[in-house]
Amino acid sequence: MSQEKEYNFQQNSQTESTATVDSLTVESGLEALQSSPEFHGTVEPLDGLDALETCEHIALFHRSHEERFATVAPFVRQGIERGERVMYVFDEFTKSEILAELRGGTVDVDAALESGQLTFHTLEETYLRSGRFDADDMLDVYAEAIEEAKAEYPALRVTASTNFILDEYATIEEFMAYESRVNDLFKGEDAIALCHYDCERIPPETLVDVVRTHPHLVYDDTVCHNFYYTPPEEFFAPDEPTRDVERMLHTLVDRSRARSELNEMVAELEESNERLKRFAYVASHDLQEPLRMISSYLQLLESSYADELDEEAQECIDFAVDGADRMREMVDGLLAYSRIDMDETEFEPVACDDIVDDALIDLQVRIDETDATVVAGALPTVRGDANQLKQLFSNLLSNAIKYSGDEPPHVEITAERQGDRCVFSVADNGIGIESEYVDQIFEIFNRLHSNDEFQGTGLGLSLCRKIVNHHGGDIWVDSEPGDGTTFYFTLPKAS
Amino acid sequence: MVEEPLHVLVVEDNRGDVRLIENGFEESSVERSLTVVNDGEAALDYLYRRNGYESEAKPDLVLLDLNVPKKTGRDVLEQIGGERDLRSIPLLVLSGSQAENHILETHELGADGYFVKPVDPHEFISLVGRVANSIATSGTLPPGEYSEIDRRT
Repeated sequence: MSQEKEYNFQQNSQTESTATVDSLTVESGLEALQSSPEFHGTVEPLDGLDALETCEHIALFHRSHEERFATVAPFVRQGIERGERVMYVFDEFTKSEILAELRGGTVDVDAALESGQLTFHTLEETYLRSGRFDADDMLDVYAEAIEEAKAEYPALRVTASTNFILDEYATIEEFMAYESRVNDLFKGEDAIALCHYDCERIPPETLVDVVRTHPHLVYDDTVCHNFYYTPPEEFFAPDEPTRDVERMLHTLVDRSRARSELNEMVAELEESNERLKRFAYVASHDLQEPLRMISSYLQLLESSYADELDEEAQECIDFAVDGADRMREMVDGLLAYSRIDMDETEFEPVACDDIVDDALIDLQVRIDETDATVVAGALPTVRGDANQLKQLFSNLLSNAIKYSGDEPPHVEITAERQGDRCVFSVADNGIGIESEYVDQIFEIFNRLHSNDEFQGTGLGLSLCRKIVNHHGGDIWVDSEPGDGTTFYFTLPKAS
Repeated sequence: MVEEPLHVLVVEDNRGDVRLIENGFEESSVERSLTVVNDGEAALDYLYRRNGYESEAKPDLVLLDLNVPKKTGRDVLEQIGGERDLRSIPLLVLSGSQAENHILETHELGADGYFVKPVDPHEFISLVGRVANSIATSGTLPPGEYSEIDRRT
């Protein structure tokens, strides 16, 4: 979450050259969409679009009720959250229907309504105040609203239905002329408007004009900075067709450039990712030999000169040997980790019963030492890499035995089919994991215990996650400190 | 048993490992003469008796590290793979790598044995001693990591 906020902030500081951070600009409106959990779409960054920055007028093209409120709800909520005056002009839905959509999130919509921060207005009170649509009158309504809002609130936010343009109240031309002038009115003011247009009902020729009169559009879950936008002074100018052609061509060029840049970028990233994988593999592989030299010759020093070394020299060597040994374990682990990236072995059906049996044979000494019991139910056959899956079970079992606490370890492995995948669980009765650390345990080299408490490299669980991800699955943990830990993971079912 | 000393070519660029190999032969008390070359190219020159190695005798045993400069141990194996005469020399891979693909690949290329260099120097030394004794007494090499593959096939 904090990362996301930082990102937004950075974006603001890059693009908001004229406005202060607190003032209301289109970016903050777009930011509301970008950071809203309900809005899953794309928000085009404003970089390099200075000309559009000051026009805070967004058209929402919606095809369904859901699509409409996925944009409107976060827009209104952000306004309330920022303490702004929010005006909602409604028509086909009732106030309570709209309120039901707006509630949720972290803001109290009803309190805002109570205090007058959020107000609802019928068409009769606004666009159709004089019985039919009158642009001058409506611009007055908004000018008044801006003035009123200024006295008490940091900004004004308007969101309005526009379906009345379908009725006989206004000609399309009149309304579009008006929309175009709204941009002028809002320019330089702390005000932002989001107009809703029903794509299913409004005729295409009207929608074209809507596109041309709104600097920003929300369509198909994407916030676009609109190259087709025509500033009011140009909208009715005689040379407009020429400009229109220029704008269209500009859009084509821009889109083609963006695409080709994107393709180049993807290729570069893929190559760099490939190099990084290769680097981790080569580095860990080549580190092995010098490390083996250090360990070997320290041991030779120790054994060949045992009589001549005093206690302190002996202790120094012990520390060095211990360090080299641990580093070697880490390098080995890193190698195993990076090898999964390099591995191109085809997946094949793997009987998990056999894999677990294999893993248990390797762990037999530890099982005997700790008096552990491991119970495995009937396990399914999955699609995967047998070596990697053995490593996965082996790491989880060995952790379950290692972090067992005072009681002899008791581990249970179960699995159940869920559609085309299998969910496995490895449950122990061990010391458990504090909830605050749960997110860290899968990170590479992260450890919750010192080596004096529990020996380890901090690679085991990251390796597990890597293996599970390599198989297209997920891994997660459920743990209660003192009560044990259950690891869950999914693997693809063998067909 | 062998009148002539055992003639061994060691392809190894790591002086630490060369020393452990020497210690291993000393421990075995097998009569031997060791020639050490530091890279794959020199190894090939030696085996083909060229570029200054013209007067060298054919070795009785080759100990080959995979991770050597110029030409890798794998390259050396690949080059001599087609030479019947050279193929007949017992060749043991001594490598730091325990990667399955290295083991399988060198096996396919015709090496006779593969051992992962033990971290414990005493184990390393006694491994070399065992290899020396095996060659001296029976002329064969312990297969090491290949035993699993040989069993499967």
